[in-house]
Amino acid sequence: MNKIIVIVFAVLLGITSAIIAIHHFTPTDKSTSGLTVADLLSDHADHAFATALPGQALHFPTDHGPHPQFRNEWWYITGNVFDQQQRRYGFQLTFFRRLLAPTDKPPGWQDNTISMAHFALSNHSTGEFIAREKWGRSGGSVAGAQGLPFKVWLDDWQIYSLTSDQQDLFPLQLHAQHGHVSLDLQLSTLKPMTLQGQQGYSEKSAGNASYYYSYTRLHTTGTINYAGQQFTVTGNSWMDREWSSRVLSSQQQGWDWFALQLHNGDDVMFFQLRHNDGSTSQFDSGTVVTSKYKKIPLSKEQVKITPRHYWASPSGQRFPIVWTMVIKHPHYRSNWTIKATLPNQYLDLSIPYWEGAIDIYDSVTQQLVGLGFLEMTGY
Amino acid sequence: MQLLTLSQLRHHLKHRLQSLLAITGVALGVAVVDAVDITHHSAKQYIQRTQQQITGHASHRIVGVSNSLSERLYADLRRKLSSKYADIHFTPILTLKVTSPQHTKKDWIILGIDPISNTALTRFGVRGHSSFDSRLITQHNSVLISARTAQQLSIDVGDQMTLYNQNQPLTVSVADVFGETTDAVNQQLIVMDIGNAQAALNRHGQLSRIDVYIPDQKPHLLREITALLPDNTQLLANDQLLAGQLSLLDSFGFNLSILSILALLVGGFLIYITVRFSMLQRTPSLSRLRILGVSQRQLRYTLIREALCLSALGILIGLPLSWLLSASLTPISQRTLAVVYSLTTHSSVQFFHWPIHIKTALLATTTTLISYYLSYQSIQRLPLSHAIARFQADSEQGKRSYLQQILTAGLLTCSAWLVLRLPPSVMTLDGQQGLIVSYVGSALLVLAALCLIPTVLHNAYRPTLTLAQRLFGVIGSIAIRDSQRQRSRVLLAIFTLSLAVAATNGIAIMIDSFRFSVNQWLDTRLNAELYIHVQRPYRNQPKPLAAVVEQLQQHTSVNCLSYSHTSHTLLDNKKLILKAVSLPTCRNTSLPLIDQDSNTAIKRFNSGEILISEALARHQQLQIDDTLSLQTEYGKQAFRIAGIVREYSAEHGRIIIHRKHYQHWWRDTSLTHIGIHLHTPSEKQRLMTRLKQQLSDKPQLRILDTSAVRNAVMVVFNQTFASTKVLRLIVLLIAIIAIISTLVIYQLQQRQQLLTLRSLGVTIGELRLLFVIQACLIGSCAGLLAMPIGWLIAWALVVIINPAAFGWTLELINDPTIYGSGFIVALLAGLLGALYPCLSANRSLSLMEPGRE
Repeated sequence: MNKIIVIVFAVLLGITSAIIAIHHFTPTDKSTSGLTVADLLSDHADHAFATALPGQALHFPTDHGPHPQFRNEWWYITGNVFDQQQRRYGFQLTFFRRLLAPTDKPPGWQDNTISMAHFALSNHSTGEFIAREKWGRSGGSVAGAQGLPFKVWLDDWQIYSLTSDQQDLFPLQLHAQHGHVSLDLQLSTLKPMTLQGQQGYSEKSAGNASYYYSYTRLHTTGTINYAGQQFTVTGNSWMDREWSSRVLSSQQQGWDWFALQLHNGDDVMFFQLRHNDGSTSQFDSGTVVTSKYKKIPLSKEQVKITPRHYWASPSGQRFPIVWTMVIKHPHYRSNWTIKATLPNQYLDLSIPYWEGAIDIYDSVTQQLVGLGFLEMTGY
Repeated sequence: MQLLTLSQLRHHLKHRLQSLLAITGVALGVAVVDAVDITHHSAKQYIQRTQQQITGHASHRIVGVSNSLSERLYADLRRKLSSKYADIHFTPILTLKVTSPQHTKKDWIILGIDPISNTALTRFGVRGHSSFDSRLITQHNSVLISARTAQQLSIDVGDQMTLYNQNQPLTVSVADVFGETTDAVNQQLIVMDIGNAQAALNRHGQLSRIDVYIPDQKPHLLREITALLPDNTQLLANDQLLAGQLSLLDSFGFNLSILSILALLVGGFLIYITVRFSMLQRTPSLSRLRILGVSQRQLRYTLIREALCLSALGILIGLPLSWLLSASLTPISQRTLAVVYSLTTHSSVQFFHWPIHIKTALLATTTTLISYYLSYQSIQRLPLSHAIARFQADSEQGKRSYLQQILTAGLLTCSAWLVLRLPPSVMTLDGQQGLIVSYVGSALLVLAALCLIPTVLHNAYRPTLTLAQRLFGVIGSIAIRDSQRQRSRVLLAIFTLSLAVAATNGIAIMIDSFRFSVNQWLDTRLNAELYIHVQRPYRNQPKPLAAVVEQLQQHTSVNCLSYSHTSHTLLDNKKLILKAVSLPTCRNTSLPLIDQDSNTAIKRFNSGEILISEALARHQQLQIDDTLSLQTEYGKQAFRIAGIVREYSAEHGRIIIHRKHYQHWWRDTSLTHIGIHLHTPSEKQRLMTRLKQQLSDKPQLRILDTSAVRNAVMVVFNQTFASTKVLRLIVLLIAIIAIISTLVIYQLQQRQQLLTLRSLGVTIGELRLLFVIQACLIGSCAGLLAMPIGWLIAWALVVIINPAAFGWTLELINDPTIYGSGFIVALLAGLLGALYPCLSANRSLSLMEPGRE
């Protein structure tokens, strides 16, 4: 009998141990890191995409529309507007198109193209900043872009041409909404189109370039709905159009892009491409469009930008929010201090970056000489 | 106190076999109850997690009447609502069943998702847009499969699989895996980019559904979404769909639980038998302790401690047994759920669910404590002077009032009648409450019958004694008289065995009745000799189908054709089968109508009225001439009910409509089945061979022999009761152990008397005969009593529980062989119980070497 009891308990012990051994712990969560702009725009050596080449003339209005054979493309509008009480708002509405892999499939959910749109609004009187994104499959009715008549959209966020003349782009209508915040603006150009770089061919690294043109000053009117109120606003916007397949080299980690609209009517664009080792690219460049529509190209050597003061994002990235910009061009000289109007204009989205409204001061007199937008990525 | 504990310990060490039997009773009860609960819990967990992955965290879904939505609707909803209500999310989904015979016999489900949709990939443990793998979109045949499936089928990332969509091969490449290898959820799921899935499955621009995430289920958002939906679509709450699935699972689990409680009850009898004997054995020593000054309270506490220790040991042994049992029950329950309820559960046993184990442990401890309490009460009532004598002769039964037992039985019957007469609203409330009420009513009836057992046996004593005397002489007389003297214990054994055999008989009769009813129903449903099953997408192609029909009509052996199409519709968020039927013109069709004139019903059916299944009528409390509002392509449309038909399927019900009216209201000319009615049935084989040749170029058409269909239905039928079979066997096993323990204890208790008999010249063989007679007495009494009780259980299952649980009625069939086999099982169980006393008699009842036990 004793044997039976010993056997029963031995079996019990064995089974219990087996169960414990078999019991698995709950699987741990896999953490994933976010994408960066550089991840999206770096050269992944896929030569099947179309490439931006020098000496290629741009054709309008066709080139306002999409270029599906290129990997990346964006329609980028930023601006500073004021309501009737002179309260200032900064806004950004951007549509990105990305071709994941070249394909011969017709437009639709199989055409390997995805769309992303960013909408951001800063309220300078309250210090609030909101940024939202949308993603969608291109080629269907969810998202898309067309040249004639011009329209780019993702759900109901859209930029479209209001003109019946298909040769023209303006006036443009913008619409974006996120809950109780919405933007409805009409844009008409005050200056002709500026082809950036060499006639729209903008080199960013050795052999890598984009097609790039801008409307640097767009008169902007419309309404902003914010906190349950509707505000009639007016101001100036800036539109950038760019498409490419390979822009950044693997050594480049990000850029700082300045769009400055001066009170004297001059507009300045300058970008600086930063390398992983902290140095900057030889391809840094910019353009001045004077009030008389004269275009002055700026090279890296003619512009010196220096970060002066930093702001740390919640995730610990440090973004320079105060800069000095010194331009020493034979025909254009300046010495400005550029300050972000709000430090936290950080778009904490799937692809996080800093982009927001800035003030431009004369570094000597400390007088406000213009407004603008600054984009900083790769920090 | 320590002295008392030591005395108990000594007693148990001295009577180890008894203690082991009591522990076995607890362990077996624990194992069965716990295993059933664990199996049920694992399946439930699986369904919940599967749903969570398949629906993400979507609170609702938008579905189309014809199981298809336009991709444009998804874009419209996003455009109109996703910016206005920033926290609403829409996800397009395309699903389709496919097969992959070289990997597994099971069906796979292709789940087409949009990987960049906000909520699509999070359900597979991939967070948001930032980490999606673009290969899923760009490599047009790439898929994700579960890590566990990949491991089980030895599929590596980069490997290819060939899937079949209605015989059309589709080669896919595994781009990645989701989940962990330990995760059993969604093992048959193939995740694909929605655009690629549309192309691969030839469903361009189509969706199966749109998942909607609506935070806090705000009513105004629901109204706004509903207002934007076209007539042929519906917004459904996912939790209601899940609740529907879980309630199916619960009703299945509830049936198993009843059997598991029965196992615990039988286990409880076993504990009671052994504990009671142990108490009686100890009565002299306990009485002496009382005389020595040990208080009642001290004695009670000591016994409670003993009961707790005993149950703890039983639980410790029972839990690992439960693990083994649940591992064997899970595959059976999975098959049943898949075949009967269409619920896919490839769940592994989720054994470590402590609330269930704690519940089982509490149940077992309570049962043990009750057994101890009842035993202690019976000896406590005795005066101290009688206590010692009591052990020597168990005459504690005294003069129990048999009138009292009859009155109790009458009272229980009245209570059962009252419970079952509760208003229909209580009976059918949420399906489940009605079921519980039915079970309570049925249990009361069975208890009433059990109450009558002592009276019946008391009256049977004299004739049995006479019979035994005639057959076996003095030994027979001793056996019966001794059983009468020990009647409390014998009664318990008969009680236990008769309950177990009656439950087995009752379920067997119910299954027989069910089988008979299903056969009858199949006779009326399958009235053609041959059927052609039309598979997708062929069923939606009227022109080629018309050519096939013409070809069929040209056969001289074909008398006429009938047509049907099966689709689904939703009623109160429950998926119902909508069957469009055109009846054969060459035969008088009999529909399985309930209490209704067939000709009138068919006339009304032909004019556009509908027939509904019995289950639907019961659940929705519908009657003939009521109207039922259904979502059609023209919006909601009311249909009058022409008749109620018998229907044995596990869904919420079935609606049958004439095909021409279905084609009008649902704008659908699809065909699922073509029934071929022949002039003479003998031409079936010849025609089948010819048709196979003629239709060989159309793999979408399958020719089915009616008898093959019938066999397939019966396979489903048998699977339904597969798990009950296992549990019935277990209940019977526990009952047999209870009998063995009764007889072993009897032998141990009566050792002195038996040795006296031996010294008076009774041989070992005669003593063995004594045991066999007593075993036969227990077995045959239990077998005989199990007949009426079994019939009562069957009646309760067929007439009360089945209609309440499933909504259908059955015809009660009494097969004498079931009762006969039940009797034989009881008799064999009794004889099996006598085996140990007989075998050990030589050793334990030898006059030279008396045993020590």
